Amino acid sequence: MTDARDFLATDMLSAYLDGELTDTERAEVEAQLAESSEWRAELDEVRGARTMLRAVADQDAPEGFWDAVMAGVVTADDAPVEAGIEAGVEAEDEATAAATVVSLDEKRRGPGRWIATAFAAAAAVALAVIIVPQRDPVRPDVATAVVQHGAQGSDLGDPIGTITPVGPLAGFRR
Amino acid sequence: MAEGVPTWEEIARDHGRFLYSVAYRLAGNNDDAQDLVQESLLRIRRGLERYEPGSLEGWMARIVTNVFLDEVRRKKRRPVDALPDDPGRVLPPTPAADEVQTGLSDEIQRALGELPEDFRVPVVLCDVSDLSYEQIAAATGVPIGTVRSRIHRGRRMLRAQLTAAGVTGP
Repeated sequence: MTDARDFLATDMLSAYLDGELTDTERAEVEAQLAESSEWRAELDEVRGARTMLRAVADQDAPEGFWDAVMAGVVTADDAPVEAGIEAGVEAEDEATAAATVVSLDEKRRGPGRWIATAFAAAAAVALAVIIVPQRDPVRPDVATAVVQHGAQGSDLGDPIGTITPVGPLAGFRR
Repeated sequence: MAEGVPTWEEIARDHGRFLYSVAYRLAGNNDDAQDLVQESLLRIRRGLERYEPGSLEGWMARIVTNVFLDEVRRKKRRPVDALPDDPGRVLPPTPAADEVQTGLSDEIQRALGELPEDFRVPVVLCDVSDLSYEQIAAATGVPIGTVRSRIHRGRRMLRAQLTAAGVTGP
């Protein structure tokens, strides 16, 4: 005959220690513990880890820690890039993401280093705005084409009839 | 801001020890904990407008966890893997002299550092932050049954690491 406790998982033991079981579950676990030395050993195992970790849970920050943190937060508070972040502007492209990524592997460079990174991101965005419209100029040059057509259409008094069909401008990209 | 909601400076003053403890146990060292706490306080400051008085420490722990997991995800997107032609980079980092510490706290920190994040985060949130399983599920975005399983397995891994290091009790 299959006992309901056959289906109990030992991960209930941590939940048992943490007071996260229902009354029914707790009774089932206690019954299992009474019968099984394996369960008791596993309970001791996780109880030991839990006790040790909780014994050292509260940790004092080293001297100077909070001065650096508070200075960093206040400085970031004044940074203009903050407005963009608050408005939900997030960098998705690789270049900007690379500028904003902050690796915890990096060695410390002082409390303001995240701020410097944020400015770098803002600079990358500004640079992109400036550069993008210039990346794909119209060929041929529009000003030259206007001068050529204007000259053909105005010198002989009949601006429409005398225009020489020029067809599509050579090299013009549709 | 709603009445009764503290300022971020008050949070830093009154809950700084909590913030630091969680950040230190998640990050593994003071330098990274400093980054984590600083970024968390920035997010706390930005989020205070929307904060509704309740479990302040649960809310803070969720923010610290999110900052930590964001960093973990960024690392995974851009792993700083060793280059095959640069054997020096595969060597584990040597701790600086001021990072070599002794005592149970540091043994536990080393053991925690060996745990994958999926297990370290729920264990820290449970035993350092003292959050309920429901709060941990909300903070990490995983089902509560998974939280239960990961806490148990994480503690077993932690105990195995400590035993291997010769640490048997507080």
